[in-house]
Amino acid sequence: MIKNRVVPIRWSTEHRDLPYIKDYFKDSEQESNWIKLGHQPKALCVELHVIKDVYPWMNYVPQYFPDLENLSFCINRFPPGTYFPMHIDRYGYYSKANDIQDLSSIARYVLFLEDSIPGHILQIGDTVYHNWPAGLCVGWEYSTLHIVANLGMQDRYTLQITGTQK
Amino acid sequence: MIQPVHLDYDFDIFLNADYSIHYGSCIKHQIYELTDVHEQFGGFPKSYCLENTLIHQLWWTDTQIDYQSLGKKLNMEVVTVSTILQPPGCVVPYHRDTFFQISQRYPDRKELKVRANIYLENYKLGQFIQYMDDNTVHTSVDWKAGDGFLWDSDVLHLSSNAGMQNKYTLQISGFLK
Repeated sequence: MIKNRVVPIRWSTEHRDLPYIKDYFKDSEQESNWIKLGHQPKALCVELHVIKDVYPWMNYVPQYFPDLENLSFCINRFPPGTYFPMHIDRYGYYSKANDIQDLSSIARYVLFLEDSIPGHILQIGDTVYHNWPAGLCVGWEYSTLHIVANLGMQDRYTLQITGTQK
Repeated sequence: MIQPVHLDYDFDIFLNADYSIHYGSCIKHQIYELTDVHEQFGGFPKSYCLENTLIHQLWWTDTQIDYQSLGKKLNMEVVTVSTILQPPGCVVPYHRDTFFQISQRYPDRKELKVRANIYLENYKLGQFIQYMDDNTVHTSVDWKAGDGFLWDSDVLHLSSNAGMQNKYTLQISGFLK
């Protein structure tokens, strides 16, 4: 069961200084369909910083997810004008790395690392999130449709937490 | 000022028009005229370009459209009417309307210049308009054809189509009565 929560951000801007790698949507068929509809390939991307070992400055974060196991962390940076239209996450890397057979046990949360500005949007199902304060953490179950968008003027940072529900 | 409006009108003429005759980037003027807006975010983002700010805009004269009728419904004196097709994947970044054409044509008139932004079709998933009101961001979704907002040059807003189908809007600009 998904439970949105608040995880205080006790660090400053350390997440901005990490190295990020540009990544595209993992389902190439889905991506092709978006491009056929007019979406621009270079807008359909995110910049990732995969966290292998939780940094000391954020080592308290896992305790806010006692309902999850097999936790995995990644920081996502969406530059202005980038987004993923309505989609379902594939969990390919996560399920393989954690040997998860039953994808229905997977939950994914995003922890907003900074206050939103106009144009920062997350839509989960029918619920549109905007105006969030840093520290708000919202999630979805594995097959929930969602839209992630930065239609604003500054980068949008989130910590993505993936786990399996206990 | 900002106020929600609903325009009861037959939009077929706008929806059936040929939008392929125009295309351009909505940021062409914004990047020079709205630097005060961009400065608060550290400048205009380099990631916005023609491809993700594309619009197809048509202008409608008073011989094509009954300006009087529109003005009566919206309580305004209509000066310009345009419609915009925003394709999937495009954003009109955060801005305020500058009423450039009206100011040029009527430099001495003091009445409040306003624009009615009207949705020509019902909301489709992934389409968003955000606007500032009372220092708070509001997101417009779930609209019906004919819904919209009337606002002046103080209201910062953005418009985006992260959906799967074209988004059509009607812009009626003029003086508030």
